[in-house]
Amino acid sequence: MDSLTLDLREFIKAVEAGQPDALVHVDKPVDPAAFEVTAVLQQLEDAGRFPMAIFHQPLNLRGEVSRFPLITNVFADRARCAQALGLPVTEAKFPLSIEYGRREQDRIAPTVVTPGESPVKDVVKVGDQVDLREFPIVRHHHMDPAPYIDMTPIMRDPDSGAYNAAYLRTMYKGPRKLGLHMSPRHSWQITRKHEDRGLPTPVVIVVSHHPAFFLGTLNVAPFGDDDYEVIGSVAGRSLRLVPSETWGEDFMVPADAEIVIEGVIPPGVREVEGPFGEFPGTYGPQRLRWVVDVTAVTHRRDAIYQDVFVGHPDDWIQGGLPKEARIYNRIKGVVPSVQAVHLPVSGVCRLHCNIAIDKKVDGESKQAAMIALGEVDMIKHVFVVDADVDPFDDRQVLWAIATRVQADQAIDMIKNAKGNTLDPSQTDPIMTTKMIVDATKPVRRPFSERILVPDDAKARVPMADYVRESAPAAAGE
Amino acid sequence: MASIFTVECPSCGQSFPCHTELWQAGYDLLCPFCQATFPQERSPRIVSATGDVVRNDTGAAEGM
Ligand SMILES: [Zn+2]
Repeated sequence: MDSLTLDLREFIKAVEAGQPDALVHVDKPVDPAAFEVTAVLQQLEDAGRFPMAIFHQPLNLRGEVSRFPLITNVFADRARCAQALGLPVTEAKFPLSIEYGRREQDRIAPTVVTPGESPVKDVVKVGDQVDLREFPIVRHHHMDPAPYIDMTPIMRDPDSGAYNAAYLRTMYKGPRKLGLHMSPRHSWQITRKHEDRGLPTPVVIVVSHHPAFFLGTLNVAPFGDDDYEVIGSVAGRSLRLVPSETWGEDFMVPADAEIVIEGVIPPGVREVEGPFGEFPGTYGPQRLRWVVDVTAVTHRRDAIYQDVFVGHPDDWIQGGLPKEARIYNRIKGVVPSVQAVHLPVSGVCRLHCNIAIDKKVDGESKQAAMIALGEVDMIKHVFVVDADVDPFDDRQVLWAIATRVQADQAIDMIKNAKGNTLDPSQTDPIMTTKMIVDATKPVRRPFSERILVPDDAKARVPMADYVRESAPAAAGE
Repeated sequence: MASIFTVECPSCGQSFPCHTELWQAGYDLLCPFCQATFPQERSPRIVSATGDVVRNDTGAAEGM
């Protein structure tokens, strides 16, 4: 086990050196709270581009040029996610998923360091010194009521002591106050345990860090497993931790983060929060939600502020890739011929699941699909294709549906299964209808073969040698 | 996501979605467009989770 530090700026340098097209800079001042950061990202997306973007002069919430540059769209391309985990960009499809799944099974214990060894302690502000308005906090979509920090709060289970990290949105409510949205998952359980005892819940928001840290927080380890250990394993090195300002050694924080916000969730307090542009690409409604009273902010001297473009590939890809290997491994136990599993961007990397199998027996497709639905409750529609179809290529999957599906034979629906409250199509707050589309060929009868240009013929006439691009006609001709 | 109703802001006239847990819950709603806060009863037009339209001037449900 090594304890090399995780440093966001090393990652930025590596991307700039290795894939210069994957990073763009915005030098002019922009106002993140007036949608100007997401306006740039949306224009890039509309042009089919998904680079990481660094804004060098974003305004803070006081309207001044912030001391913190802003980085966003880091995860909008699987190649950068592969790079973040130390894999070659050529392995950004299913090999990345498999490697994530392998690392997620292991644990690497964190390393405790002193404040003097911790870049995140370069600048320490506590109590009245804290003013969140110094940050270039982003307002993402037109119906968001305020700027939101949309990174990862960390909480600690009061019973086991295990740390839990999760992406949760926090709404700017004042210089030392945030609103906090949680769904009934791990962070919610931890908060409820504190509230049941009449206690405030300590929370630490890691605003910016190396992307491997954030990919690590997306692990699907059971409640009670320590996320600092899982993050270390996913990142491939021991996470360095340092005591917090607010609770000392009782709550450790990542020493190599760029910016950390410490605070408490007071028990029993709820305020209106939202609406918020959410992962399906639609707004979640205004709700009654928790608040965070901020107690301290610490950061590197030249810290970079980080944001995720929620409801876009920057958000979706992170949500999908950590689940693919888990589904694959579960299917493999029952359908050994499974080739790959992919949660495509077209299904917001959550609602759709493509599974490729080298089917040997009719019925295996449905078996594989049911395992996927059972393993990840967010999945609503499963498409099973043959091994000659790339599940990472939507056009190929749709081709298989077009040519290998008879709806009355190939489609099954399962009513009243658990869904996701943010799916706008659900007519019930909790339950949804799942669908399995078996787009595989039958095994037991002849079926038209896919057309094919022979590989040896392609090898005889390589495109680079045989194709001449048409030159523009000379003037006057 | 069946559990939403939409509320028109009495200050700017724009509508936004609220979760039904806020329905007559006694909390002021926050307009995301103009930042006005107001009790549900002051909204000129509400579309309930079942699609009924409630206008504040008459208080009558039009149905949809
Ligand atoms: Zn308004």
